[in-house]
Amino acid sequence: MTGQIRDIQKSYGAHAVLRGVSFDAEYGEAVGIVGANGSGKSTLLRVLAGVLKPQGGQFLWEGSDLLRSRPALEQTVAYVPQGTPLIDELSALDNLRLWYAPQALRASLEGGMLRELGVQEFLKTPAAQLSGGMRKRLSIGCAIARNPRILLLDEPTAALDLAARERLLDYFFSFRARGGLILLATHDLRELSTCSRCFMLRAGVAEPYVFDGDARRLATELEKP
Amino acid sequence: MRRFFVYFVLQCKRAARILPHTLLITALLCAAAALAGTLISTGRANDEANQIAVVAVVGDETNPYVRIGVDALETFDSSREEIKFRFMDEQTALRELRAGRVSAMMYLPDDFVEALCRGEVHPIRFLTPEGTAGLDTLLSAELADAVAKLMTETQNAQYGAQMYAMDYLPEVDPYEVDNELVDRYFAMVLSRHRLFSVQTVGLADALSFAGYYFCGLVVAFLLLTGMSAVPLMSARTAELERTLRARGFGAPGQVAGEFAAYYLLMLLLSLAAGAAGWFLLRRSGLAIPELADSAPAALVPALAALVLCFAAMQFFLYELAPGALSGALAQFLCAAVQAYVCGCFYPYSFFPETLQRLGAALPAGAAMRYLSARLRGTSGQVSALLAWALAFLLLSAAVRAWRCRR
Repeated sequence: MTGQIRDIQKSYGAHAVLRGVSFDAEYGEAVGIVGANGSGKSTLLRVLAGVLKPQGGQFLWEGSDLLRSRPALEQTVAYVPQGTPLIDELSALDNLRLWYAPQALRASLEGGMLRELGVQEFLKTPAAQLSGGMRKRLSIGCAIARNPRILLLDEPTAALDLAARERLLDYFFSFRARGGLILLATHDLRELSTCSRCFMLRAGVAEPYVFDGDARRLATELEKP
Repeated sequence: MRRFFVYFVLQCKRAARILPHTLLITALLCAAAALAGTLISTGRANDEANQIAVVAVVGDETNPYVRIGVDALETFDSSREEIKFRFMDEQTALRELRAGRVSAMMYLPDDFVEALCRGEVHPIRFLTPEGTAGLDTLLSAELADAVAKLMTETQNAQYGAQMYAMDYLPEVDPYEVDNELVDRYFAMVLSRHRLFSVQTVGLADALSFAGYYFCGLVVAFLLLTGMSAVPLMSARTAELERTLRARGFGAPGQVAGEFAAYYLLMLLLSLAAGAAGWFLLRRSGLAIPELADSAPAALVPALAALVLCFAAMQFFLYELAPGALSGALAQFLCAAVQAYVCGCFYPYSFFPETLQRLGAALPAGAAMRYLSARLRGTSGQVSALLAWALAFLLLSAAVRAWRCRR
């Protein structure tokens, strides 16, 4: 296994949200993480992205613990939160400048991942004036500035129209095809259907969950304490 | 370092985008400050409600001439800040002075009236508590005004006596009477130029009225400028802050980059407002003695230090406020309270001692002291302003780090 998440624990004060989350992932996989509201999906992604410090656990990638090596974590992992981490008053290009070195930005726009995301279509537009799909594509574009191997996505297609959603999912397939790993926190059936494996977060631990496309069954599972 | 520089440049771009908006609000603030200045310079209604200073009078209350003199002071009171005089014994007056219930103490020597009749000068002593910014000036202006009126009335009485002598005392030369009156007047009244000696216990600001209120208006204006930055400061997203932190650009770097841009914006606005204010001041003809011989550029370093302190404070308030409305409200309340307590609207010596100490400890109090010192031509204590700015920035970074971890 190339990616191993081992016994991740995270508490907010006395409230334990993650009580020992563990699972493995391979190159090219998309792993879906489902769970009821407040089950700790976003917290898990934030811990893995290095935003939150866990009380314990490891995030092993090709043998090294990313949670104990900040440079390796920043180089390997890209995190796209549920909201869009953009500076609304500035253009898409200015937002990209925050994350990319000038040469890398030019190269990526001319024939790299940013071109694949279609960001060049709205480079001069202020982020506040972009549609939901464009904002999400721009957010992902900002996140992947360092050519990461792992993409952490928190409900990436929520509130997007069908065309924008399919465009993003196409990009995720292409990312996986290049050997990237996607960890996806979601409630969305379409997103789940693209995942190779799923885990359900319940009572602070991750349980394997086989998603068969049955929304009613998923809802029932989510309601279980 | 590259990330910090790029972040700073992008924040400057953001600030530039909202510049027209902030300029508009600053113009409104300038208009409000100009209005306040005009109201102060033209005086307020002379009603009881405006009595804001009490001066204890220690002396022989039973002596009719002393009573007449004190009544005259109150009657002739035409100053902007009304003063009430209260007779007390010495111990009570000192106790009230220390408790901050009276603003100053006027001590009349026991043989004051008798000495006057002999043509001798036994000076009246004024005691003011420590840190009586503006009160010395106020009392001096009050007394000067009263003395001027007394002299005018005396002059009228002289002319009256001269005319009486011409009409009803044909046997005497009216000009001789007049000369004698003038001689006596010179001997007994005008020689009393040392009649009053103002004695200050501790610090005295020695600023003119106009100079003091100039400081007050500048500080109040700078406090309020934070409201003009609402669109800039309330549009931040926690997601961006968290993402930046995840990529190795932590809270201190974020705060430093954003504050540097915010400081430049506020400095630019303050300089623009300062230039406009200077122009209006010159056009209006209002005289500030402390500024009579100085060029406007001389105040720019002082303005930069003041803006640094207040910008850091405003930045911290925005860091605490969850939204645009709460941010604007926090800025306004903080500005209004500090401006009031620290003496921007009234000389702070009019407040109780506890409040005076509180005011002096606040950033606006430090700013008032610093600006007053600069106006008097001394260097002032810029370290207090820098310490406040540093403290606010460290607190801002701590709040940002805490928010990123949530």
